[in-house]
Amino acid sequence: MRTKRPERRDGAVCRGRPRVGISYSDYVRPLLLDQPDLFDYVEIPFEMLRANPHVVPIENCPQVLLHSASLSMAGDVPPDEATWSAVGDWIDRTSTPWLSEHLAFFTAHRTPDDGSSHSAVPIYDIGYAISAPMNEESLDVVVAAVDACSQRFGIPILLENSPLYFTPPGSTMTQFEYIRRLCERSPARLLLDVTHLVITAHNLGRDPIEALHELPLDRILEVHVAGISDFEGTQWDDHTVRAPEVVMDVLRVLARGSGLEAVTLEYNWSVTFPRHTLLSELARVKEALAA
Amino acid sequence: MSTGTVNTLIARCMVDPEFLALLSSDRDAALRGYELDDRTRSDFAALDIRRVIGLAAVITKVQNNGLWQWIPNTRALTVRYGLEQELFAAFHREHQALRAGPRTRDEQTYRFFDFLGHALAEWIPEETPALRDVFLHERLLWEIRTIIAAGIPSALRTGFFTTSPHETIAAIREERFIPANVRNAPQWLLYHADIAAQTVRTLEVNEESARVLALADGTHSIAAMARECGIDRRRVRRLLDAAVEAGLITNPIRRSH
Repeated sequence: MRTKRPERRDGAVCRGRPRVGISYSDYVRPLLLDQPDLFDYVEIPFEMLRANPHVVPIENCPQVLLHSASLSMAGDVPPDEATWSAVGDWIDRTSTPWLSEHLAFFTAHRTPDDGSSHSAVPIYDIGYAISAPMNEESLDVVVAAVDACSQRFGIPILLENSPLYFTPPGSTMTQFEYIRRLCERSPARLLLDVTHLVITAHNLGRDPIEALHELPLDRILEVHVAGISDFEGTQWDDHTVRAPEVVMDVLRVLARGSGLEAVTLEYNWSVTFPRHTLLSELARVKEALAA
Repeated sequence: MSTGTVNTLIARCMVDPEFLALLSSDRDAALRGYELDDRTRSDFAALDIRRVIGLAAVITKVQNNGLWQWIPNTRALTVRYGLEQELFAAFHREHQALRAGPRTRDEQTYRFFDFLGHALAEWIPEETPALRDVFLHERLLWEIRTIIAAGIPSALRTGFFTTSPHETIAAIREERFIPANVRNAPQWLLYHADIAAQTVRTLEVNEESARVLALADGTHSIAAMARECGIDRRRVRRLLDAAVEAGLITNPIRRSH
């Protein structure tokens, strides 16, 4: 599958209205058949394409953005060569203008003799993005990983902030400072998950708009928008419910004062996500961007 | 330095429920043998373990997102009653065991449904109107759909409900569900495969029919059904004949050789 290659893959700031896309879920294909002009792009996980290449092409999908959760950028277990190679292959096949990854780790060295029946496998594979301790040591790891990705793939690398439910032990700085330091030390761009930002700010007792202004806004190319659930006073990421209004408030600030190019609706945890809710969320996002 | 060790410890919490339990109950014992600097060790001591358990629950939930397509209204009710996080924290152990070995999607779904069935029977509060009935309804629909997908020519299930799952589901879909409005509506429902249409049909039946038809799986004789249901054989025969005529079942009784 090859889609039309966008004119620019250098990550230069786009001065037009940000494009609005949707994260892939099984309901996206019939939705785009019914309403072809609804979204400017579809963001698809690399892992999904690797497991099932037939996810693409998607009819009426003007562009694909590739989103990865395989490179464990903040971890000390590097991906194997087959994974690097497959990511590169899908960058070419989708003509994605950038590669987004998580500012997180997915795998870690296994504790030897941990009593598990799988102790012969040398790593723990979480299958989910978790923030590493935010300190100079992990910053070195991420900077090196961004360099490696940039050299290998030749397109902008966007890193996505993780939601913090607790501060990882061993952290010496806040996530906002960590991201700022990362951008000082590397050419990385940002995929700001606005919902994650709001969750992190809430769970750390911070104001999300104030926290936003601690980030290098000019590095943000893409944002994610999804919902939040609350359990015993802690906020949790939830891609099955509407975004709270504070997420739109952050989006309004970004629309006025950043180089934002793409806004992705990330309601991809339920294949039965109601279409009328999705359309209503799309309208809210467009209204926020136009404000 | 401790960063790699912290990643190992957090990752282990997510994939090794026994270790997470140990970290909850005896932090020193859990961290023994790990090389951590003083500051990091102290951070671990101050860690709000409920949030670590919560993260393990969220990951478990996300890695089971595929389940909800079969039980969307059960999910709506677990969310409504604030049970989702507890439920997936409790499922963490079984989920990791499932991740560790080969399993099909149907096996994974079956194991979760079994777990949820036990949770509903054992520890989920009774003050969750309609939840048990909606789950039973969606589970029976899934069972019949799975049978249809396997190409088996007929399938039938029956269930007893204290409230109407159809009423509850309509209320959820129309975003007007209020727990206090759930009314008692005892009923027996029969679920059967419509092979031609590749779909599941439900109909309300009386208790006697439900009990007989639940046994009409080709493994019971008419005498056994009559004995088990406490009705006479002629009555059983009439019920089975009517069900065969209606196309609900094909081979209802065990044939003697």
